[in-house]
Amino acid sequence: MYTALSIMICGMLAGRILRGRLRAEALRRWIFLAIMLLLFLLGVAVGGNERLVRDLPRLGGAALTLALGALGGTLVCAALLGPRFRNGPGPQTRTTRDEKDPGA
Amino acid sequence: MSASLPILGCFVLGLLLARFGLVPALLLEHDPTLPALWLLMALVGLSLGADRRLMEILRSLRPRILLLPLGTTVGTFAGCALVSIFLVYSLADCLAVGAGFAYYSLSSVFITQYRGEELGTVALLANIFRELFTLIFTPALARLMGAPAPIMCGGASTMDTTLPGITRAAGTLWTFPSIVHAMILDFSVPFWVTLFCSL
Repeated sequence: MYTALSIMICGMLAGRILRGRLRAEALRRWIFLAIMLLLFLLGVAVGGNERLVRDLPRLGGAALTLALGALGGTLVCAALLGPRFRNGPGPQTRTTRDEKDPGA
Repeated sequence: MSASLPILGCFVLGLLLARFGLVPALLLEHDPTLPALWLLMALVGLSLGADRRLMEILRSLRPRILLLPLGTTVGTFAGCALVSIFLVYSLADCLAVGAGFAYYSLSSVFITQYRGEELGTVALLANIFRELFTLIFTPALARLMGAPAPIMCGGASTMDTTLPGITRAAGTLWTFPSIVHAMILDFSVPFWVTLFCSL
């Protein structure tokens, strides 16, 4: 987990050095492709694990129930907190989503 | 959902190809997800570093960001407590599984040590499901409920695997709150899991 974070910090330094030569649109496209690659590989890891596949029907129901419970409770809290963050994570500003996020 | 469907499709494609033995053995023998994650993190870092507003974003962080991990913890435990009524596992066991906050590797090892392999496997799967849900539905959640929703669903994964998706869907303003959120939950996982397993 911390290796990944360190790599991101190195990437930030590289991005700072290369600022002006990197196109935001191209970076967004590469990030999306990398997400799809990660999910494909995660699918390969799950599908290729015999034990995980064999145990899925027996334990998967309980795991799915717990995951949905945790996510449901979290989403209720997210809905309650949502209005406090309507203007973003920083100080209250007049920014709209489009204004604050042209690079996403 | 337009961005979620190709992502879900990639996962299902990988799963089916591996299930039917249609992927090179090299992919199964050497877990390539870690280098793929590192590639993602490097790309996210590049996009952050190239963003001229980085310092402005850092200065904009406020203590109320701490409400995000607090809400994630309260919501997760409340939801797990509720569904424990329908499961054969005890309330403490269900809370221990929930306390993984998508940090499946660490939590499943802890739970296997304290409660045995069965609950450890449930913890592994439940937290993988949580991470997968976040990876797949981040664009839809961000659009329908705002940026806090995918961040809170992602739990401890919002500083690595789910961070790129959150950054893409919610914007770079939410990158540092996502990292702070994940770091706090990350440090709390061993505490909560050990506590609930010892009850």
